[in-house]
Amino acid sequence: MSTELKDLPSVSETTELSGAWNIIVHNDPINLMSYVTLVFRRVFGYSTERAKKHMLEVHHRGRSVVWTGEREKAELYLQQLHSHLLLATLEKVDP
Amino acid sequence: MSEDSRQGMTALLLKNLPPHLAEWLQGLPDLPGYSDPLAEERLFPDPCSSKVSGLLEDWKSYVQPELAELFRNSREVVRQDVSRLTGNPQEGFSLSIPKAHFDAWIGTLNQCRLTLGAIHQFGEKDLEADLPQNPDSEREDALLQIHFFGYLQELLIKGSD
Repeated sequence: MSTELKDLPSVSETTELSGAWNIIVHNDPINLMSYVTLVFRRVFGYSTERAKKHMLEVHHRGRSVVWTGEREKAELYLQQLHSHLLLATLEKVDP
Repeated sequence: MSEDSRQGMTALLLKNLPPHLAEWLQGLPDLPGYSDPLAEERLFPDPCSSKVSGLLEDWKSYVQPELAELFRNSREVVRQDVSRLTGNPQEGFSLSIPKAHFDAWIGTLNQCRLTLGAIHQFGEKDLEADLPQNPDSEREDALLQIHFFGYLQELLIKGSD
């Protein structure tokens, strides 16, 4: 019998994927406010009120953290936002 | 251009379009600017900083080509619809956009607006300024297109709800 040790991911790699992640939408003056609101409702299932709140935050403050959660789901949402041509990025939540 | 009318919420009908608006609509699917580096930077922005391990490389390899195909497919739907533009320069042009195509149109109009915005580097002040009455430059023409297509987008968004 022989055994083989497989390479295990380093601690930094595993912690990189774990934990909470923010999706941030950044302002773009070209995107219509009504459009941004529609996208938030469709992608996240937010109420009109909540979608507008985030849209106005993007508009007035330049950015809004629109969702927080696990990385895999965050990446899916990110793709959807990019498919709607919103400026969206992913960042790890500071512990 | 007359006020739009909705045919029982099954379509958006644009009537009495003057020639230059019909021309703009016909140009939507094949805007030369789509391949401009500035436009590409905006249509395919980075999803994160380089500190997020693994995402950037995978995104460019797998997600970006899918996005590009999605954008092309939307433009193709618009191409099919504008090929059915009817009318003449004297009486104006008409176009019916079926409700099933609203999302493709909203997406394509956005692609076009963002492309023109990126190429001409329009900011908030440009968009809030008075519209040029007699556009005599490519930049002014682009700004008018952004506004017209924005108006059309608003109509389609309302019709989508």
